[in-house]
Amino acid sequence: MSENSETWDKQRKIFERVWRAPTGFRDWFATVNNQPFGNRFMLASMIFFFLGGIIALLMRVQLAVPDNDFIGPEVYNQLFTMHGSTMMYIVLLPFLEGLTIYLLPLVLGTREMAFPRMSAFSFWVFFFGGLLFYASFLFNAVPDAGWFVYPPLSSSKYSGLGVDFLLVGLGFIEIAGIGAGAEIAVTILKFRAPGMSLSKMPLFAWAWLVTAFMIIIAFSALFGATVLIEFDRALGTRFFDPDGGGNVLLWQHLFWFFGHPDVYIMFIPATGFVSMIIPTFAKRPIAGYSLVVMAIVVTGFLSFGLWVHHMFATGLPPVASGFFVAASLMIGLASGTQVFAWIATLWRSRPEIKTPLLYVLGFLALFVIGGFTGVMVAVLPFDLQAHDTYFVVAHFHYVLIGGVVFPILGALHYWLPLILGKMPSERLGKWSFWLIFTGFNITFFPMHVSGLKGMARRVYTYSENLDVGWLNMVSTVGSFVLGTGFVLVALNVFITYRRGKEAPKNPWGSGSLEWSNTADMPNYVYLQPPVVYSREPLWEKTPESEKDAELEKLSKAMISTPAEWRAALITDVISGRPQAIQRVAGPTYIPIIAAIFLFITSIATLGQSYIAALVTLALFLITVLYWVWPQDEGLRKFRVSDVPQRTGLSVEPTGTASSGWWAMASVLAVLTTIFGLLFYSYFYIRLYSPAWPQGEIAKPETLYSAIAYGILLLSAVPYFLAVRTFKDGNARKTISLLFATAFCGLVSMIWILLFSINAEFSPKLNAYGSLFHVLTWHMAILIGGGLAILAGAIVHVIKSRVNYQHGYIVSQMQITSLYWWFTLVVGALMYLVLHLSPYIL
Amino acid sequence: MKQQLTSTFILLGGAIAWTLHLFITYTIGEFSCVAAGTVFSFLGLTAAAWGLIAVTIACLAISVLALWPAWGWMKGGAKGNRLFVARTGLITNAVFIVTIVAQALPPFFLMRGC
Repeated sequence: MSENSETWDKQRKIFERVWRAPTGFRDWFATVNNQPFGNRFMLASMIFFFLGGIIALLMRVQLAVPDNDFIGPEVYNQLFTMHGSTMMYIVLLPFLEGLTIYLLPLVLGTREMAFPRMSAFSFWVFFFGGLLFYASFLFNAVPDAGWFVYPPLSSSKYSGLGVDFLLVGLGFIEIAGIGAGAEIAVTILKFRAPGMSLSKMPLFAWAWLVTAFMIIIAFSALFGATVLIEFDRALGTRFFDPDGGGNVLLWQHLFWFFGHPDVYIMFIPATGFVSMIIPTFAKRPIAGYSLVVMAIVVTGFLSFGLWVHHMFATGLPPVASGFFVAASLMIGLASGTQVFAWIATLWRSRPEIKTPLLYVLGFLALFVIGGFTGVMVAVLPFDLQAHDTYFVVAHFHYVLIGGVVFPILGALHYWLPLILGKMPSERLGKWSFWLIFTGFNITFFPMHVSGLKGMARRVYTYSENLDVGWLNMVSTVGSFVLGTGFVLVALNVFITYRRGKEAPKNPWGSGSLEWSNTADMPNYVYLQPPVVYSREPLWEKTPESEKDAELEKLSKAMISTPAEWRAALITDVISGRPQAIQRVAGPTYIPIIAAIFLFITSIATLGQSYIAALVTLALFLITVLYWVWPQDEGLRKFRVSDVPQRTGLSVEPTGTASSGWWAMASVLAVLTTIFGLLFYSYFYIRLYSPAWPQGEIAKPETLYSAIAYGILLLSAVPYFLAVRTFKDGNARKTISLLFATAFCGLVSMIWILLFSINAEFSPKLNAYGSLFHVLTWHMAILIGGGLAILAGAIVHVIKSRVNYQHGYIVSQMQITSLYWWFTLVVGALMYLVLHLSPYIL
Repeated sequence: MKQQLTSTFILLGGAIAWTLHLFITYTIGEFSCVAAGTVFSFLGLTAAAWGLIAVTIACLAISVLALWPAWGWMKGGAKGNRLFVARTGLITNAVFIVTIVAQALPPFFLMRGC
């Protein structure tokens, strides 16, 4: 045995010990490795998919003939609400996230996701959220106001507990989505193989990078909006109540600011899958790589500029509608670019038509149809005719099933050999494809016609006079063919799992990095991180003379480094050159404990046991604090480590090299969206109110509020000095100045809260009252969060006084700075909006 | 660091300009009809229309500024990652310039009659 292979074997044993996932039922809850959680996301979303599918079949039976009474209008309302909510919230995106959490480290050539505990937490929160959705059946309180929960239908006046189940469950899904989004974004930005610059990044990663940012923004907006509508229902605020000066259209704006990008949040990752599958079968790199990247970036941005096209029929000013028509048409340009790139890649390539490619070809055909009808409904006059008809139902099913489910099925068949180590049956795969493809078209194509004939959606039946009975019968027959196809897919996965043929390494002959592994890969995946020189590393062998000696040396050093703790390389966002070595979290029960506390909080809220809810919420916050608190043992290991000597890289990265910095940047993106949404709501309601403040409420006073917010802004002085003295190495002075900052923050927070407590009007009086109180509470909570972070910084400076210039504490100060400066900016804006703007606008 | 910032600006400058344009013009479009933005006029155009023109020109300028270094890199014979950033940035910014113009036109013509 050579010395080299002896070293490898020795290191493998050490790494297997360090990276081992806990075993046994109890420890099943402590694992944080990406692969089990990827599988759990996929499995749970598949179960929800079949529940949502059964609901869809029941709806189709009801609609098979005119004037049917198989299920009444109440149950039909519940079914279409649950079908939409299931598919939109707990099936498509969670499945995409699951597959990505499984694959991303493999594709990027790294050992783990950036925040493994976040993967675990996101899964548990998503799973509990899904359970809450379906628990509504047990309490006979099934939501019935649509997946979009439009007020006034969703207000407490017209809807019961069911809507609360939906909204609280939705809150869970949003938290899970934001968590997974942040984790995926940071992993792609910072956890890539050495040498994997932006230009060598697989399109799968590009698609997810854009999607992850979209998730963070769109789901934060929905989260903020959900809180407002739940306040209306539970606390009696009046944001969306026209009788109290609120505005129902405000909800539509807030909801569709999430709802439209949500379609692309599911579509863009699906295109990432397609861009991986097509080159593999065409045996050539994707055509127009830069154009496809452009299309992904453009689609990601433009998708946020289209929300109003869901509201064309609400009577908006034509000026506003006008430029949303333009944006809706422009996005077709980006999607079209990708379609042409895929066709160009396949052109004359003579690919072998296997099941994954078959699904991708099906996707191309169906998505183009869905895209065309999308362009039709983007045109205002046509949309006014087709709005709320089955034409729109046909359009979005072509986009969502054709554009998302087909690529998902292609991806499932494509990566199954890597996940299970066994080949899925080609025969069953092709049968399932043809059943799904024909079943889908039989179901949904006739809906274009029934819609144009005037059949309204979201209505439990239709009149025989409409002459759409036979079209509906065809659709119903098609839905059962479609359902049979999905059952065959599940059967194929099950049979593959139980007794599929063993998969060879890289069975499709792909060029991307994940296929350098097999299903029995170790938890750390890459003992030696691969050095990437091209977009298809498995297709292109780089001559020794062209290799980067520095990267090769570092990659080899990583075989034996570090040995005591889980770690991964941190690389530069643009060039992909290594910057540091980041510790990666190991097994812990913290994520599930935090998720359980949150779950109990929501159940207590639903049961209106607000004291219990507050107690469990406090327990949740304490758990989170414990989670983010750095463990001394871990820090000690860092400091005695010889990793920096061996690799020349820091183990305590700072600034943008640290994943913590990017995590805080994600948190600030969430907060920016939420406060942006609150300010938008304020001015929207103000705009449509004849008098401001509404009712008999006097204009807010400006002097005391100026002092309260001024004290907050004044904290900038001690904080600025604290940062300077910290850099100068004066620990004692730094601690004093941080205390002074916290004191200013605390005084300001209490004073700001007193504005709400002492106000002569309640949040229930009218929409202005609701806005004043809720914005004030948000401001106080923001400062409270800042005080917790400041406290953390103070404790760390005190504890690390001996050598407080360690990278970790520098990073902690940088993260604190990000949050505190953000708080001050929001504070200034809050004062301008809440206390000064009523005098000006 | 400077190169990182330039790369980011090349890739996202147009997108950021478009985002600014969307939110500001939407605000003008939605709010001016209700909030008397069409009452005042100068040279036959309403205050809101002038606002739209100003915002559109400013956002187009940002997009063009993002094109500039990309063009310079391309002309300078950039290779590898730099070439990719320049090429992708060039196309992306061009698309956003077209989008800004396309989005600015309808409200401009409609602004006369809310």
